[in-house]
Amino acid sequence: MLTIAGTDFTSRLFVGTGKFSSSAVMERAISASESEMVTVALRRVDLENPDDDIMTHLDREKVRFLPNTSGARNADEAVRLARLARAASGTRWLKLEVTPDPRTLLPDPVDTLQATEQLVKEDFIVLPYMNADPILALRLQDAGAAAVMPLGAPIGTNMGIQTALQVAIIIEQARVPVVVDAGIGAPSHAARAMEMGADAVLVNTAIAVAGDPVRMATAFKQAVQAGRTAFEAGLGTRSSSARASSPQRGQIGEPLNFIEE
Amino acid sequence: MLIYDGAVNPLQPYRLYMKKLQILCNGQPQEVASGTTLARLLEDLTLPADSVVAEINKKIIDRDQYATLKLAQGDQVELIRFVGGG
Repeated sequence: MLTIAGTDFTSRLFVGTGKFSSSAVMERAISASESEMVTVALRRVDLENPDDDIMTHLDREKVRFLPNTSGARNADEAVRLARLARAASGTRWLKLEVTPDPRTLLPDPVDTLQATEQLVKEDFIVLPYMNADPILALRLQDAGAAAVMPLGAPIGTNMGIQTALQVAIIIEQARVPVVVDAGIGAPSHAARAMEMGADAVLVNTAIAVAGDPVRMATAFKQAVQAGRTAFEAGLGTRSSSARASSPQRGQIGEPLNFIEE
Repeated sequence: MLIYDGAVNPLQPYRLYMKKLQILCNGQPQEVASGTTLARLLEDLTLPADSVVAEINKKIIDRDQYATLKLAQGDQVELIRFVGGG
């Protein structure tokens, strides 16, 4: 069972709600994923479309809201968005995101740490999106982050766990849950993160832009479950030379003259 | 001060004689009648009050103040809500 800030989660798959072709598809995909926590963003109301409200499409009895601070370019903007998110939703939960560079959308480590310190003081449950830096993970954990969310690859790239070595170190050291976020583009990527011992993964683009987002949500649910089960079962060690699975004694046939035994 | 601003709108006749205020709503310049409350602004925009969070001059406004809070000249109003995001 995954526990973050005293709250238990049966599902280890968190789902983002961006980029879906329609609210109906989003609703069905979230349902198929069996996710218990979904991220949402805050934006100005489109005054031309005042009826367009995502809150009417999400059942907060079934899924917890994790508002993000996407769009924040520094700690001050992130704190402002966090306060608005709490006022709008009533939840203390927050995915902290500080991305100054629109080209890479990579998180600013300094401002992310500063904002985490401030928001923890204000009694938020802070889950910071971070680069896969093991030392930063320790610093965020010490600052009171409820979990850390290292990236596998830049947001929306579907490139998989490019940061595997650092993520492995983060998982080994962390006292708080590790949620691999960003870059997970295929169920196999999610399974890999879970096999490595990640506590959960957050997936948005790969589900939302799939040919059939509802079926892809099911595939991610299965991959996350498979990866977690594999981690708990204990993977065998790797070897650089072959180790036969079948017995080496009692083989028929003569030695080959071009192979040295 | 009373201002008559030209064409008569029979649906909102009283507004023609009221002082107007210029505000910025979500970055767009808007003119509202003096004395307009935040609740009235939301009503005019057909926005249910519980579907948005309002910030005026970067200060978050509690929902129970919407009905009494009157907009002032130059107010920067932000009306914000949740959208899909990752």
